[in-house]
Amino acid sequence: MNVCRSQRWAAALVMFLAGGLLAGALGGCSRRKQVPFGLQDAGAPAELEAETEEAVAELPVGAAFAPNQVEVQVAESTLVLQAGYALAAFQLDLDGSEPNDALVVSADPQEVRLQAAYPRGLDVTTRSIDSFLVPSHCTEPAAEIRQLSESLVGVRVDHVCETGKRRNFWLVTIEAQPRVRERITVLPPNDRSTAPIELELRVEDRDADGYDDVVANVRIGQTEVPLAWLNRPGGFARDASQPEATFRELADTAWGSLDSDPAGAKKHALAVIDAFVALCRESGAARIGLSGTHGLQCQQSPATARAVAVAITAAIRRGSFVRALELQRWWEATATRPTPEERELVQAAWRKAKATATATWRAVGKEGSPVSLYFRDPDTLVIDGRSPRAIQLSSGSETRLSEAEVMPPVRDPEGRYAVRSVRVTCVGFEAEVGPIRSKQTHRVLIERRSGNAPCKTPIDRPASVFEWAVLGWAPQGLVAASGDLLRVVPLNAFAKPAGGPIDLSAGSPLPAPIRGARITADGSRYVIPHSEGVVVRDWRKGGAGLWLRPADWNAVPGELRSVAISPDGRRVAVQKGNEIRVLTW
Amino acid sequence: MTTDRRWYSPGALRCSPQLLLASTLLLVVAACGGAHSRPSTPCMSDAECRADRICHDGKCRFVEEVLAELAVPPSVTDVGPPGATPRSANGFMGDAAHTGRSEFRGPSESPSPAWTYQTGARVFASPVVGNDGTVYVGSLDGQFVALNPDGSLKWRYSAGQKIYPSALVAGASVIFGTHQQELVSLSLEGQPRWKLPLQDVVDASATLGPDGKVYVVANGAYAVDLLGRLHWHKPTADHVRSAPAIHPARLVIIGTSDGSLMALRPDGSLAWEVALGGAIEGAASIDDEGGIYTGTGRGEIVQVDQTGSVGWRFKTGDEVRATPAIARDGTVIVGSYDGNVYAISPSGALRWKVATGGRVRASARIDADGRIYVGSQDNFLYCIDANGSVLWRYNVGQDVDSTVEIGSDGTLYFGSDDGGVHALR
Repeated sequence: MNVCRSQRWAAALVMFLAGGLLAGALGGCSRRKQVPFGLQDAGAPAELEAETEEAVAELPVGAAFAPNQVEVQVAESTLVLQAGYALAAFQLDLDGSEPNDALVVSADPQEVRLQAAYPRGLDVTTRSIDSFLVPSHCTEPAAEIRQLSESLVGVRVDHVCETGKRRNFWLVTIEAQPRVRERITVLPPNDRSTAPIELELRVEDRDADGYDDVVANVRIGQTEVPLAWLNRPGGFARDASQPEATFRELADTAWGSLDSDPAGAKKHALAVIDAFVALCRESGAARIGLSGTHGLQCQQSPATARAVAVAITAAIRRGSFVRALELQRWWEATATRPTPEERELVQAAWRKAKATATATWRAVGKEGSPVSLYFRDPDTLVIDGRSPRAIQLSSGSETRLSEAEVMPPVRDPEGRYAVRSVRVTCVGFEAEVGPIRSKQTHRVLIERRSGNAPCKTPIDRPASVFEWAVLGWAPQGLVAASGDLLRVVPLNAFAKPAGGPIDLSAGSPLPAPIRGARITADGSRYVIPHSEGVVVRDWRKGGAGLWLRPADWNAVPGELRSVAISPDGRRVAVQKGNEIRVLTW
Repeated sequence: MTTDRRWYSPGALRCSPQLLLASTLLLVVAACGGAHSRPSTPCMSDAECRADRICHDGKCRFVEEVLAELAVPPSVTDVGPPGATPRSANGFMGDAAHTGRSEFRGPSESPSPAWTYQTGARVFASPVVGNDGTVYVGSLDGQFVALNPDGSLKWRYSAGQKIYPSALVAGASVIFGTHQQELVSLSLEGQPRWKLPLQDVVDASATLGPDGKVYVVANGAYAVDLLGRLHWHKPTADHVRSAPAIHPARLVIIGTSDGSLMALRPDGSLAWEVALGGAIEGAASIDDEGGIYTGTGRGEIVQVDQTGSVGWRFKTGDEVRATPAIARDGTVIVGSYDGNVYAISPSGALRWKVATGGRVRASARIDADGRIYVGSQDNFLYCIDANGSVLWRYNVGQDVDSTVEIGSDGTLYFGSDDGGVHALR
């Protein structure tokens, strides 16, 4: 974006490729050749190849070393590293006198160092320029040094970490005492930001003042954000108009096409949200770092607020209420401020959705501790708690149940195994499954923990009612849901995994028959709890949701603890706080 | 049973030391004898079983025993109508040679709809009826269903991707491939037995060979045993859409999209290959004398002998994508995209042809009386007698690309392009 603005670009135009891909045809607007950086081995587009080779010859690249090299040749002298080993070195004249000096990148398991080396007779003196610490789980460092322009050198350092690839870029001045103008870090995916990030650096005179400016094109998924550092007498100053300008462009496109092209609007809105999470400090999950700080300051990002409004509205319109509520929380969590117009758009969507179902509820019991609820038949609710009982909903009569009369609601077709609970562990969300008549259990993975971040402290806690839940058990295996996601976890006759989970798109056929508390036997309806109400999804109608929230929802204190749907899909039982209530609509 | 319980009850042992001695002796004897009967030990995985045994149905068993058991229908003697012989495998076109012949009689007069089960997308596969009357069929909406004989849902499996092929019901397993690039084996109750990842989507039905191996095609041919263990994979240059046919000379016959007919030996080596010209989209079929028949994209029916020599070619007016059926007298029955159903003599001469109003993609089935049932893209299902006379035709209202299956009570089962699974009787 905005690559070419002026014919006065006299400095080098260099492409600094981070993701291993050469992108962008830049040469037509520049008087200088473009020099790809960081991609000697990757294939360049054919039309650029010749030019690239020429440019590479013009602006040199440093040497990279195999691991454990401790000696670096600097002109006629040899630098012996006192600590760590050399990753790369670049011979150049820093101090304006013969012989050539060098920039050297070295590393040990804890730290990566950048230093300048000056030959003095047979000796080599060094001067530290910068360094950064490396997380203990990051290994296999590799570096590349490439001249970007007459006055700048780019240094790229890669690490392979448990969580993915971590990259650091130094922008270094070419002068007697080189300085780091900027260090940019690209972090690997995390729990909240999984989109691939590529970073492409180039040098251009962006503000036409005769000095090299630096542009970093950051590509998050399909969204490209050009971040610029303008070369000013006091140093590089980041152009603060980005990333908001790019967010605004995408958000306005989404806003404008919400009615005409809902899928396109959703795509653009989600692109903004993904980019905001990856780039902005306010998201709490930023993956771009500048000189040791975490994320860019995006502040209240009105464009992101607008994109979220579009995403919420799209979610409500397609019945994905849980997703809509999650997004709505975003506004508060990220301090993005929607305009009254954007709030009204969302409120109107909610009003329309709520108009489709008016839910009422009535209390049928109280229970201080969490219970398991399930319907034995459309009119009989079983409350499996400290004192198990069955309630006839039509008459209100209550019958005490013996332990033998209470069956786990989620059990296999032959009644041999049951799901005891869903646990959150370092592996992810796991169903605890075991024979009904035995205490023996084993775990079945429902969803692997995202982000691959190391799990340093063992986790093993029950999943809340709002996380992944097993709705029921079909012959094929478990039917599990989280928000709008619905998944089949295939199990064999011994309740052991039989192949990977199968995600079902809205409306695609569910396995059947299903035995469980939160789904009807034919899979046509199931219930998803949310702190703001419950959603009944009708799978026969393409997964359309029915948003159920009685008017006095907040009058009953406490969180939702348990939910169940009747076999005919017409009643939902909930335990909210200490009260057990039945919703009808 | 009461005696047994008393025999082992602690009280009984306390009262009778003689019984304790006797039971100990009995256990010793049983243990010695057990060396031959090899008692099964409970297990949850193969790792818990010694040496060459595997964990199957919760018990450590020898592979050979399990394979033999899987290949034989459970309680063979007490299922099926009187006089009907339960088969060890039910699948596309009735048998591993794809003759299309059925031992059951279909309706000779215009039938009535018994039921329709609606899926969400086109049903291209042929329903397959198990020995207990359960109807198995997959749909392009990704569901594979087992239907009770009355049309009600017995169970449903979600593949997540399109299912084109017909099922193979082999003993106690239901096996089919999907566009998820896997071969799936389910129990008759719909529980997964195993899944075998393949390197390409599966468009054609699997076939059970006489050696107990399941042959399936995707990017070549695969041989798998009933435990889901891959024995070999013979890659081909092009995707394969023709279900493997089993030749009596122990050959597996497949046709490729680039027009080659290939014969593979049981070890996966190539016996011969002949280029027929024109993509082979339908399966080959094999007559009682070992003659091989297949249709091509050039509109030909080609007869090939078991050495790969082409005997004759019969030209139709358009592509032939159906699998030829072989009547008991050797007549080859096959539909063409030119809209005709052809009857060709074993020597390659036209006996008769019946014009339908649309392309004929479905393969023909032949009942015990020689009546031919075949669907057309003119929305009709046709019943034709052995002489080429149309006995009746039934308006389905949708293209019928699915090959008919004939139930033991004469019910005809087939799928249609609107997602329906139909039963006529």
